[in-house]
Amino acid sequence: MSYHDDDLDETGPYFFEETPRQSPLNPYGAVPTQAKLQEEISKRNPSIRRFVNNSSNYQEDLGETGSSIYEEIVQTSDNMNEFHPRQRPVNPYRTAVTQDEIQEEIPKQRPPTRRFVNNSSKYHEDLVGTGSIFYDEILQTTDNMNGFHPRQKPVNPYKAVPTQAKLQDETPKQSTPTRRLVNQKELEFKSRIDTRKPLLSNIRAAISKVGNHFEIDTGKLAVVLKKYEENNNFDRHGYDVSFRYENEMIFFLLQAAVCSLARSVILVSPISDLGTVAPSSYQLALNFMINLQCRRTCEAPEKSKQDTTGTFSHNKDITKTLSKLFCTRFSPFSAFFANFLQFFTVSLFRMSSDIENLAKQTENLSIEPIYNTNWCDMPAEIKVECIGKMELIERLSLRSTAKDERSLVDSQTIKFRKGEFRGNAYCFDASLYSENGYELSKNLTDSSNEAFEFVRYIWKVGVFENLKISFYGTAYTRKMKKYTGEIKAKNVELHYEYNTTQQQQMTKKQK
Amino acid sequence: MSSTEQGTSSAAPAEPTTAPESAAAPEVPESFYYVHGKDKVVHKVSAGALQHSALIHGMISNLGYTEEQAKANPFPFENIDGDILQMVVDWCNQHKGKPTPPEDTNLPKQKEKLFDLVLAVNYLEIKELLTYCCKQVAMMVKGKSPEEIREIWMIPTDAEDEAAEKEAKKRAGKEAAGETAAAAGDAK
Repeated sequence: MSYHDDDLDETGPYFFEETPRQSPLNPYGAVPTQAKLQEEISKRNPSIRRFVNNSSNYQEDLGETGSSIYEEIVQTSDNMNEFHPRQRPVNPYRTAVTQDEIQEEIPKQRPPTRRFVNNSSKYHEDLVGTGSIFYDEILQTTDNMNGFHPRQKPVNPYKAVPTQAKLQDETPKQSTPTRRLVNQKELEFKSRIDTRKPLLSNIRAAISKVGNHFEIDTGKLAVVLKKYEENNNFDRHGYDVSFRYENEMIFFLLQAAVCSLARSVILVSPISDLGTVAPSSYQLALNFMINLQCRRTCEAPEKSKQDTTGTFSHNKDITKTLSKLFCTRFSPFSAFFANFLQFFTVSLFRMSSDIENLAKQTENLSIEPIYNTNWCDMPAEIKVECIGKMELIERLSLRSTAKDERSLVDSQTIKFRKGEFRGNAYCFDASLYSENGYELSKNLTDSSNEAFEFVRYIWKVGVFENLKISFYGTAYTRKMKKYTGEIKAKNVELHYEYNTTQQQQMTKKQK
Repeated sequence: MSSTEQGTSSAAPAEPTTAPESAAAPEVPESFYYVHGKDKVVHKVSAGALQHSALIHGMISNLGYTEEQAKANPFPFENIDGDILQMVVDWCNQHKGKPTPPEDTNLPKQKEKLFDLVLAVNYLEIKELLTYCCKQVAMMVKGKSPEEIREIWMIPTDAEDEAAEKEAKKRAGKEAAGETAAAAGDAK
């Protein structure tokens, strides 16, 4: 910057007394010489030096300026703005007058920035989702921060730092690993289960020989049952005669499945090779074991039922382990499971006594005998002969095993001494009395389709001495009307809510 | 009553020794026939006992065997195991000339032999015994679930059946391809 005589003349001494004329953009307008200017810069604006050191672009800019005059500085200032247009509002060259304010501001703002950069660059995104109350405030300060650290805009520290306290509260909840419900061994074992096979053949995978006796692994059993339940592979059809509700169905399925195991000497191993299995699976296994015990208790002789004291000490360890398992698993539900545990423990004592008695009789046990010749080797005429000797419930069960058996069963008639079919708008009952005194009753509350499938089958294969049919519901009467098959019966009694002609038609049809 | 010889068919059969048989036909001497199963053990059976079997009875009446001829040529039942044939012979002797009881308690306790017995009885056409055996078979599955029945009787599921059929078809295809290849090789 140079001073001309013309200027001095015009202003005169007044010029030196008053504030020297300054360009509105020149912060160094008051400094007359370059040396002064350098001193002033070093004194008043240390942040500029830091800034220059940090940014190579700035250093180059300053290099260009060197000791050049004010216009050059103004030019470089414009260049600076081109390099960092976002810094225009807080350009240190332009706001050198307000350096004190900057000095006050920087210590406040920078430390959190560095902490933030070190910790995580994802805070911004995380915070957006947290709904923190500070969020709005942070957004307001974002622009200022961008002025200081343009490259860190995506990781704006103002967003992260004020909510650190909040994050400390929230992060532990979010980062805590969720409770593991399924372990790896359980998954591997589960993948090996083929639900197309019968349940019992898969349960065999849970049975292993330990010494002279067989043990059933409760965890493996649980996984098997769970997989069958998940795949809806509990074969309902055979049980569909007496029980309808799903929970009941599963319960009785389990009860039925334990029948064959109940006759075998199989100890219960409460400690599973799979480790801790999922509680929902474990619950199924417990149901199974309770049913197994119930079955054994029912079938065992009276003497062995009473002889429980001798086996107490023998099974103490098992009981303790089992109790521990229960306590750890079900402690939140103590009231319910305390009773459950008590019942199960008592059952275990009884079961162990039964096992001891049975073990003496059958040391070398195979779970089920394997026949060289079996049902599938029989010719169809013998199968039919055998089916003819079966009761309805066994026929239904056999019918559910395979297609061939179904066709064989359906080809045979079955005699009933009496058959009663009652239906109204709310429920449907079927009662069948066989010649051997066998009685079967089925109650299907509101699934008329299912009920009528059963009824159709019975009407198709049944030969009735006495048949009583009464329907008082529109759905039932409509379905009755659609039925075009034969009903073989000596005496028929019909009661249903329809007009007389239709009743006569039905009666004719029955005849 | 029966008297079983533990030997081959060439061995001379022993005379019946029990009292009821001789008492049953004191005037007319009862004729005896000889049968053997897979194990070649010859079983001596009276003609009255063999009346239960429609097959043997038909053979006797059609062939017109004399006792000497029957002695020299026992009826061969190669498809029946020796112990199963023994059971059948025992049952026939026990129920010789008697009305068949409604429930038979002399059926085999071993269930694994029941199906063999059923097949043998079916082959020999012993109607009463077949009825009892079928009842026993039906009793095997009393109160059982479909799964249990599948397990006990080893009934394959439909899916297993389909898989087995596919495998059989594949094998048949491979065999056919192998045969054609071999035939082509021979022709060359």
